[in-house]
Amino acid sequence: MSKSPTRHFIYQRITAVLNIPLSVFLLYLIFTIPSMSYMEVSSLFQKPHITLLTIILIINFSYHMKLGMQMIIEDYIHGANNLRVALLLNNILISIVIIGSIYSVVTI
Amino acid sequence: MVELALPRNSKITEGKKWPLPENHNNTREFKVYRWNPEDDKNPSMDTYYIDTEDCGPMVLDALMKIKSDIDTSLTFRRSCREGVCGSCAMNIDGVNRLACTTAIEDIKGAVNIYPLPHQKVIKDLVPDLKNFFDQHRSVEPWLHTKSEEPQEEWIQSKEDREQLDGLYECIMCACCSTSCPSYWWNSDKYLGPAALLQAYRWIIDSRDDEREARLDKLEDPFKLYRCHTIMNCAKACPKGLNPAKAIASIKKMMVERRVSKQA
Repeated sequence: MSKSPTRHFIYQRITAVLNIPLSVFLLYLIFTIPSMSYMEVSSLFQKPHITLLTIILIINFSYHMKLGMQMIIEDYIHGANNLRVALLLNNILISIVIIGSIYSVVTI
Repeated sequence: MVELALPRNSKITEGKKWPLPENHNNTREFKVYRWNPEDDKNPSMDTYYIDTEDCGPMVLDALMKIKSDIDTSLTFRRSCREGVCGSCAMNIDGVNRLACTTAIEDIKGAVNIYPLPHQKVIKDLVPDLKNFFDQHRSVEPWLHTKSEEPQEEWIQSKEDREQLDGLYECIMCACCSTSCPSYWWNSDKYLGPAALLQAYRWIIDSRDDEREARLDKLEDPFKLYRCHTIMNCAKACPKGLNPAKAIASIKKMMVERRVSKQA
């Protein structure tokens, strides 16, 4: 459970606003990558600004998802123990998504 | 965990169908939720027919007609019959509203009447509002002041007084809170729109000296932040108030306070 709900509220809004320009970048990737060969994709992600933007995108999207999922869990999961376990699983899942995705981008 | 189905004893059955009145040229059908804690039966929907020429224009008039002429066991709350006391709040035709200010002719087809949703029922159309009023009490809806009591009245400028418009008119009917899905899921922890509207009414009162303490009390993941701006509260309010806006204003104050502390 969020120890500082106002901070949670602020971060949820900040990440939501950041998601708007990052979505444009994501759309760029979605529409350009399918027509590229593996080597071209690999060289695209060798460019530092593309790698950096992709990592920011992964972190921002995932953190926003974590905050949103936390809200949903707090809404619907009742009982202190169930809530604690569900929130822990949420944190673990998001950590795996972030680490796995960044590893994929860096090692492509 | 989440309950996906109603308990067996909560399923609503078809109830008693009362006969049509002798002169039934202008009759309207009323389907009313009935439940008596003193028998072991499931809740039911009883059907009544009212001659609208022999009855007042509002749904409350029809309920009083049913109680006085047809079925004296029907139980509901009512008092002022003019939208001031909030006693006759119930779910009419799928919307939480006051029976005394809802015209029968504004409802098409059978008039379905249920108690306010997601509250324990005491009997028939009477919900248990103890938790609702406890939450109202928890926001301490009275003036907190450290300054010396004046010899005459507390002075408040016209502008400061105008801040309270749209807030002080709340009649605590519970239409808003019981229309809020967040309140349905977490009514034990989330204060709900009505209590938060009242909290804001005292937070922005220029005469109150405990603004920070009042905001501190709301710094909780459940009391305030379960509001997801669903806006059912603003739609349901029979007085035309906007609790969602008041809640958003509290959140804004929370953010400003947090940002100014960190700056």
